[in-house]
Amino acid sequence: MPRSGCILLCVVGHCCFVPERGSFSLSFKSLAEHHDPQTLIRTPPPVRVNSDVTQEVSSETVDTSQKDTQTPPPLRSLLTRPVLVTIANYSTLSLLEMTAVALIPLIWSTPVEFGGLGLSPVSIGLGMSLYGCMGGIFQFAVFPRLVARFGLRWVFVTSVAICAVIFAMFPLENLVMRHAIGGRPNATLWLLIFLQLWSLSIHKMGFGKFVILQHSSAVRRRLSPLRNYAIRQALCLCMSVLPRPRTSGR
Amino acid sequence: MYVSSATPPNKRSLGTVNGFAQSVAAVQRTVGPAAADSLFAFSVTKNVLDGNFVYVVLLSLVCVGLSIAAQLPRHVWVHGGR
Repeated sequence: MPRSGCILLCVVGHCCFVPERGSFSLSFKSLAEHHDPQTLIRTPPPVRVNSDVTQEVSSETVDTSQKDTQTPPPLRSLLTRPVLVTIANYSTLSLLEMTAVALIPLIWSTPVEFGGLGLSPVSIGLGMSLYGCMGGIFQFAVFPRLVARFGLRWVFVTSVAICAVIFAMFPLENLVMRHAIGGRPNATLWLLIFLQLWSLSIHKMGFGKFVILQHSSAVRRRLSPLRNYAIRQALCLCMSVLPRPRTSGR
Repeated sequence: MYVSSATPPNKRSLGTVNGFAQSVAAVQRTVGPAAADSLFAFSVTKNVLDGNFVYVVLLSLVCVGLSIAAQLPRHVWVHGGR
């Protein structure tokens, strides 16, 4: 295949992968500005190298529209160490967050003799709404300052480590509840619950870190479509995460 | 999402890697609550470690998460030349 064909294919492929149509021209412009000399020449060889013989044969027989789908490199070649570490971190954070958010209503509503707190639905709802307020305030007021002062890595490690506090609070709360007079929630229990929710709010900041990293990298490279994409991703994340405490806190 | 700063040179691979990361995270989000709730029920009904078995497992999960988080670099990855 002649080189000009490769370049055309590459450009078409780039434009096809723009997430929304409105940013078509923007992406083309940014491509021409930032990626022109190196990318266009450097992009085709990995395709040749990574595709095996059968792909090579089939690509000769299919038409151009089908070739576009074959130009991205295979997934296996993308899984370099930075990507793997990032994905592992993101998924671990998701796992911990969902575990904590699922356990809180369950354990709070379980009777005291089974290791729970035996709280009423009203108290659980109050606690979860308190968590919502604290999470919002933290993201808005505290998170930027912490990142500016300590850096993103520190914030992320903290948000993972604070999960230990969240999980360790459950047996402590149960212990307090067992020794409470008349089996009614006392001030110590509310203090522990507040600490637990506070830890959960800090833990939530880890997700903010992912968003801010994406945002900063997009700004640095002045890629508008990428920035749109980042904001959309953040919105998707918020929408997928936020309804969860409300539904499971019933 | 953070992946975008760490992805390989090809811009088109961004969507692939992002989608892959979201899929992995979605699987974890599906498995997490079910596994944790079942583990709590298991440790309470079987009275494993006085019903505290679930917390031991979760704390060790936090340790695994910390060891993964320690792999993160001090600065954002910037792949060569760009």
